[in-house]
Amino acid sequence: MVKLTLAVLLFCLTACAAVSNKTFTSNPVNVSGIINERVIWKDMVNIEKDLMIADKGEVVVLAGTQVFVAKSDIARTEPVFLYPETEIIVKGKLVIKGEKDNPVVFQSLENEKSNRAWTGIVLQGGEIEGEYFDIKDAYSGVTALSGNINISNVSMKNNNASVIIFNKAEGDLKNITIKNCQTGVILDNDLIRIYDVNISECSEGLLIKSASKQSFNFNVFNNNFGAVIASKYLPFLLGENKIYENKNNLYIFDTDNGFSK
Amino acid sequence: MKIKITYTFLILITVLVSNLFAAQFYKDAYFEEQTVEGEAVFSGNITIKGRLTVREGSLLTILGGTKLTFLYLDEDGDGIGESEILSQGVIKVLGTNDSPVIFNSNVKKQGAWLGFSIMSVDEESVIQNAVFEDAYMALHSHFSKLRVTESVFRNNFRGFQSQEGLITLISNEFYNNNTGVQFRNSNSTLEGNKIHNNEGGLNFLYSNVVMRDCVIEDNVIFGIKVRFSKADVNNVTVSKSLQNFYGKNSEVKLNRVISKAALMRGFSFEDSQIMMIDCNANDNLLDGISLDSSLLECDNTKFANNGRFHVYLKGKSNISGSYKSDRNNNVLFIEQ
Repeated sequence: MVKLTLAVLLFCLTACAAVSNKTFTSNPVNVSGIINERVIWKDMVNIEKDLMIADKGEVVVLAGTQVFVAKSDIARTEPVFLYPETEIIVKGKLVIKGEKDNPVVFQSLENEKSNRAWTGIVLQGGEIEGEYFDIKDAYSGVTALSGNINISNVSMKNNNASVIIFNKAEGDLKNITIKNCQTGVILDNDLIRIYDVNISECSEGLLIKSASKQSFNFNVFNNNFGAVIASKYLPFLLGENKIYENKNNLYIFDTDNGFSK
Repeated sequence: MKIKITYTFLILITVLVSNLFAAQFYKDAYFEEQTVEGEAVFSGNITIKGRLTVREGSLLTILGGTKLTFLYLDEDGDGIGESEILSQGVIKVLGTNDSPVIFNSNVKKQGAWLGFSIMSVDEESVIQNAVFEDAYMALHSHFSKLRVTESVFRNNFRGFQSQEGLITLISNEFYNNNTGVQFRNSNSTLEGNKIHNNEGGLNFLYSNVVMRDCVIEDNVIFGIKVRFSKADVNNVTVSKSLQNFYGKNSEVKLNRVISKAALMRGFSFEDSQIMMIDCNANDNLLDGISLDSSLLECDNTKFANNGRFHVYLKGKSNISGSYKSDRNNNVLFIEQ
């Protein structure tokens, strides 16, 4: 009887240790593949493999939700996805309803964190609405290829690239805080409104090939390289945008004369 | 009596032989979950619902001007069409410049039909002057030998994919696909192809690549990606992607390769060995070339007007040989 009790106790202890390793406090919901309907995520969600929110799909993520993303096999070949790492592609709608004191967090499931543990959120023709959320450990935190993005109060840490905006995307990004990345923001878009952006502790803070006049109140500081900006968009430097106290502040990519300075 | 038996025997043999070599001709035909076998020839308007299987050991020839329509069928509700051709026999698609063979769907959208798959066929299949559009994986070769010439792949999730194959792609065009071309564990030869305006361009994994006279441009995320592969690339221009040419754990020989106008880096290599002869890296917003734990040997390679540095070294990387710069500053940076 004593032996049996000990065995049960030992089993319980082992099971508890395994659970605490994954840092789960309750049973997570596992998701992957193609979402074609409206779903709500809350508490804890595991993305086991690539996830596509299809044209007719909508994912609503409630405040406080912890989204964990698993590592992928680099040899996978599904044509609807774009990156080797596990990704969330948005062709439909993603709504992130974080709150100031209860944000949504997207992060790697792996115990050993890296800045390429998963791809990030990729907007491809759909819509992202979100506020008060964090993205960590991603290859490119938010990539907007095309579609509409309206996000605010976003914190990004330990990503390879944090925000990439290509020229077919539209929308409004405000109050974005980026820290500890390889590349902070890459902009090739003269439509999108992006403002109140703080970028620090990155290798290179800001790359601008094109930007709208509605890009303002950037603070790019304490990075190895502050910014590389195409000469055509030098007016970005006038007014409320500040690039300062980086090891190397500014490189100007001269699109007219063929010389970088 | 003996003459009669001989005569009957001869007739029997003639009938058998003629049946053996007779092809089944299908013109303006409709197939629904069917199998073709032996020798079959398609022409006119061919409609396919569900899977059309070409049996092992068979030969399917599709004549110039044939239009194959794959009916949109989505039983699992994932938005991706399920009609397809799955061939374990040899395929000859014989379009011409004036009369190409068209593969598409009755519904005009990306992924409206599943694709054309050629599986485990030793003898070379040939596809010439064909147009593949609106598929999930338009043309897929697995454990097969395939030659594709002068064909167009557009508005597919993926234009072409090979796994464990021996593939030749000559003078094809891939555009408006999610990803243009992908090879895994394949031996591939590419000549005169144009791969442009896809989200991702050309992707090699665990493959041997010989590529000549190709243009890879305006692919949004990447132009050429080579991982765990061996590539010999000659006279290729790659431009206007986030990353134009990315290599990882690969052995890459580049001769007269131009990489320009990347949103980040013209060339980027990790854990690779690279030889660059008469190459150019110019007008890239961030760096001309970035090396992470990689060895680069240059001969007459030119760097011009890259936004930050021409050459960025990190990890245990090294650049040797001759290269030219358009400026004195910000040429080479070694990350400490």
